[in-house]
Amino acid sequence: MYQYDAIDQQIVDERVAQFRDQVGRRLRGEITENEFKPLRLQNGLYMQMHAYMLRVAIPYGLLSSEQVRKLAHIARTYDRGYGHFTTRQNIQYNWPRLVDVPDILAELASVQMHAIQTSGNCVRNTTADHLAGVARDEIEDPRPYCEIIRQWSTFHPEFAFLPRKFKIAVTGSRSDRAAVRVHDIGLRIVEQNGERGFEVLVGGGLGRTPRVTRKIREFLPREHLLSYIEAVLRVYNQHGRRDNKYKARIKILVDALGADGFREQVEAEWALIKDSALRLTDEEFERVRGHFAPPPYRTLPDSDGAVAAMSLGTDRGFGNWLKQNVKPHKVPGYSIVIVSCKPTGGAPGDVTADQLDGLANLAETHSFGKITVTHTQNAVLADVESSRLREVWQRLTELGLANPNIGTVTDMIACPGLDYCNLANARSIPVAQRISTTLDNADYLYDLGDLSLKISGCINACGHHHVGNIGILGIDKSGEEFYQLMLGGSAGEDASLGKIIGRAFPSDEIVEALEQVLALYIERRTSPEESFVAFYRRVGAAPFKERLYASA
Amino acid sequence: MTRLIVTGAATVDGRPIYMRRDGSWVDQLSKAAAVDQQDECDALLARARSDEGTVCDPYAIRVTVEGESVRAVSFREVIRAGGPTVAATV
Repeated sequence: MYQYDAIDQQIVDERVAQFRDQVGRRLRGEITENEFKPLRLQNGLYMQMHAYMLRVAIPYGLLSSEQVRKLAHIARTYDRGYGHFTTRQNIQYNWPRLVDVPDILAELASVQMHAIQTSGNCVRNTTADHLAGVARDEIEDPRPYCEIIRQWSTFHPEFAFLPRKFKIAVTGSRSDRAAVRVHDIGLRIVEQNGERGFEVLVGGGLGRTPRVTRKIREFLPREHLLSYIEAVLRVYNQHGRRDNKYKARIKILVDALGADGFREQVEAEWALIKDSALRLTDEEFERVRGHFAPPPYRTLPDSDGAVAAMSLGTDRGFGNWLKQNVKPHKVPGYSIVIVSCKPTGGAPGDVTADQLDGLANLAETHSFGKITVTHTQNAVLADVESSRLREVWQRLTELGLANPNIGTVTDMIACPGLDYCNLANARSIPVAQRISTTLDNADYLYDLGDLSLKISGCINACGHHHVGNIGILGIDKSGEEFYQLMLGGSAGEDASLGKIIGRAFPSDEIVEALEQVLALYIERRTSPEESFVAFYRRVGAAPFKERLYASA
Repeated sequence: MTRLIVTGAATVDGRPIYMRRDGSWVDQLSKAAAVDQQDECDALLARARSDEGTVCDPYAIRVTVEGESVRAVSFREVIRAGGPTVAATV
């Protein structure tokens, strides 16, 4: 993984010292909250309902075991013993005291981490496929490109005050596990005539105006990565709306100009800078890629058959976990373990300090000391020898991180909702907890198959409800929590936005409504091979409306 | 009957705090000054806004008062006063 050089370290250390001074002045009353707010937001520090919230950047979700231990230490020492994995592959702490934040940032800096650009109208953490480097369908590891984008975008003086926040995702695989089609810029690594480059997608996003990206370039040669996205940012920075924050994202500009109009402006801007110092040389690319060299894998026999055989053994718990939470690795003899942070009845994405320490230990003993946070609020041990899967499963079970539910309806994304968030209209976590408890039946979950459920507590859509096969959106109706059901969304390569199925349900009816939706699917699908989203696309909303509202 | 209470986030740690009649701050909604009149509330709010070292972004909320019991009218403020409803999150 990328290691800071002296300049990186100096930048981060100096930012800690600067913020320590700013916090001191705020606490001594020398600056007002209005003056302090933009300073704290530039360091990832929000004010939420009960406390400050610190969002720590995890570039493309990748962590060393040392960093994971530091995150555990921070949770234990400065917070309430846990953190929360986010949909930008970051981690949030819900209870830091302002006076402690400079110390927390110093602790982070000691392991090459920070909270810079995790808030504010700037380029946020660039996300990637969480199976980067190990997926069988991968064309190329996207993380070196993410790191190059990270270095380019960090403290980029031209893009520190964009019209709104800006999110970039990169995938190097044919399957889209990084939701690139709902990002401001989505980059897909593709090949053309033996050359690697990018398909460039722009103008995706969720929130109150959800959009799937529009393609503006079939093939961008690798060397032009930075100049082209700089051109995109320049057009957005110049023409994006600043008069209305709800119309300030790039998707609104792309709507206004049309994909062709937007492309024309980008290409014109790009023509001015494509041969500038932004050109990515082979030497620079190889320098960064060198940080992502494969670990020293052992030469082992193929283990696909052995894993399949183990999954059919008499130990059903282990077998279920192998089927759901273990994925095939590109290197023979190795497997990818998805660590479920969705225990039955738990808060999706929450991890305790003890769990983080346990994960760090497991990473060191079983996965070359690395962990990846997923945008679906889980974690990945990417390089586990298949012959040692049982040991990993046993340890994860002890840690409460082995719920065999990856890809099922209880592997939910949920935002913090009204229990924590100042923007939320309704709670998300209690709904997620009730759903996971109600549907805690392995046979039923597996019969439902791959099915994504995503829950947001408000229209800002941090829980990605628009792109859940089933989405739940919390709303406030005259002071009471209600929940809208949306069906048919997808965040993958077949990205689509879900549609609201009808009137919202009160809190005490939403889980039953979900059960009705699932029951209809089970009853009427052509076969278990017809996925929920395929079924919805075939039959449309009508039968669901009839089932949900016929008696009303 | 509903009354008005001035609240904000404590600068030091962001916790919800509520203003007393003497301008000091408490953690409990029930110990705050619950006033009837808008002009009384405005006066408290003006005082709160001059206390930036203690409180961030003060504002007024409606509460119901029945005997010793004080409860925020909005669900958001109920949760804010009582803490997350999912305290044991993991």
